[in-house]
Amino acid sequence: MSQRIGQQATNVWIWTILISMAAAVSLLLIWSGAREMATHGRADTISIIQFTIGVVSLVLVVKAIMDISRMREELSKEKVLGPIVTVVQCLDCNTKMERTFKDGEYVGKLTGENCRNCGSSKVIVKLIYTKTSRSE
Amino acid sequence: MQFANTQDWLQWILFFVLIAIFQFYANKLQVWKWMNDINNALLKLERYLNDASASFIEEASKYNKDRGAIEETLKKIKGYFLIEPVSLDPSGILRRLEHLLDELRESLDAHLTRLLPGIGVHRRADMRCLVEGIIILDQIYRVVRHYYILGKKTQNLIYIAQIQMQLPEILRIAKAYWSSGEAFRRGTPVGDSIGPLVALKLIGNSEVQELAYGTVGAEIEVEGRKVMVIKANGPGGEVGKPGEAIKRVIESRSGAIHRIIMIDAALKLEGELSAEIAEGVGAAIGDPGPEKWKIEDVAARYGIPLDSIVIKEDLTDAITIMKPEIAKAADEVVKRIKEAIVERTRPGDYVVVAGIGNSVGVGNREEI
Ligand SMILES: [Zn+2]
Repeated sequence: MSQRIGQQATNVWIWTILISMAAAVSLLLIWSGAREMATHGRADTISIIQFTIGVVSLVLVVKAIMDISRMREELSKEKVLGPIVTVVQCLDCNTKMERTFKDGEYVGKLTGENCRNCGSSKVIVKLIYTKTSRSE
Repeated sequence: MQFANTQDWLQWILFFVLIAIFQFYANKLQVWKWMNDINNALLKLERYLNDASASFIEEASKYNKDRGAIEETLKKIKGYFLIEPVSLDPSGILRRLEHLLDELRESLDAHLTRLLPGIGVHRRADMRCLVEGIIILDQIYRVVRHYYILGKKTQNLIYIAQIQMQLPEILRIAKAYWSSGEAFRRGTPVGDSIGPLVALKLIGNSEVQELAYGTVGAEIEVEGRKVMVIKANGPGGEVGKPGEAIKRVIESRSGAIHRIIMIDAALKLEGELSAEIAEGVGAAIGDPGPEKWKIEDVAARYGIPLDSIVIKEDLTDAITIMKPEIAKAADEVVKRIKEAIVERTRPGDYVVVAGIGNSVGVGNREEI
């Protein structure tokens, strides 16, 4: 499988080279088409074609760059699942409190903490959820 | 058409040659792009799989210091498969399927118990869910790789196209299973736990008893009606056998049950709101068949009305850490169940309420 990982690295290089080449060619086409039109003072078929192909390929290049950068961004964002919160409630005075989730906690568990409001030890976990709502 | 000089001629010829080349190689370019897409997807799938495996190994090494043994067992479990019972002779197919599903679960449990000495039943259930996620990710990875290599070998556009076009959906499912690992690793409720969560809210601090494998229940009272509330045995990642439990409760009372109300997470359609609550009739349960069949069978046999309340979620929400809007729907569902009991039954009646779903991160009662 390490072979495929290497393949990704080469792919990145190939893409970079291809994209910069395409960008160079399209800029060249636009420049030469525009120059032709300017010197002749009129738009002949060849220069129009050159100019159009140049513009179209430039748009494609920009789109490719955007695609790649979006892919990158998604990769780095993936690990983030959002903070997990625990809602605890005191059964004596009904005070609710939200705090970070601790491993081993589950809904209905007697936390063993004392209520901040009345000092009662009847504090149970009411809810556990992630702060992040649906992103998509 | 007039040509001013030979340079124009040359440019025209070059232009047409270029177009001709693109005509002939359009297919090749298409294949090349699609193969590249599949390759990228494959890399992503591989990362999901490796990451899920790594988090299993990390969690398992808290119970067993021998990393080699863990990796060995994981490798063995990854290839686990279930051959579905023959459907040519449909009689008793659900019983046969149930038997196979039980056996699959038991053998996974046996592997985990051997590998992770001293692990409790709840934590073991979490680990089983983690492993089941890895099995699915592994399967997805293998299938995509199969078509990738097949496409490469044959250059057959059909093979390549059919996998390339499904990639977004495949990646979405894989991502859902990959991110579900975090919930089972840390033991937090998932979207599918809404059923057990609602059951817990009803049970309050009443004592529970075991009704069937991995399934518990508690008798409570709602406005003069006796209500048996059933849920999977938490707080481990267990779904239990709610069908068996309901069947046993009904049979133990010789069918003297006035209504069954089931609560479950249901897959939402695109465009529907997440955590939307809907009511209907029928057995709301998403098992492969046996449990649903038992409930329908026993309800029909004794003529017991079967109601359902579902909470709409999509796949990702259902198997990843519970989202706030779903968690907040629980109180509303409890209210609706109480309303349904008051409206549709009389005082003195006996009602069964079953909170279907994975009980990860949800205890059996308020421990007080
Ligand atoms: Zn208090």
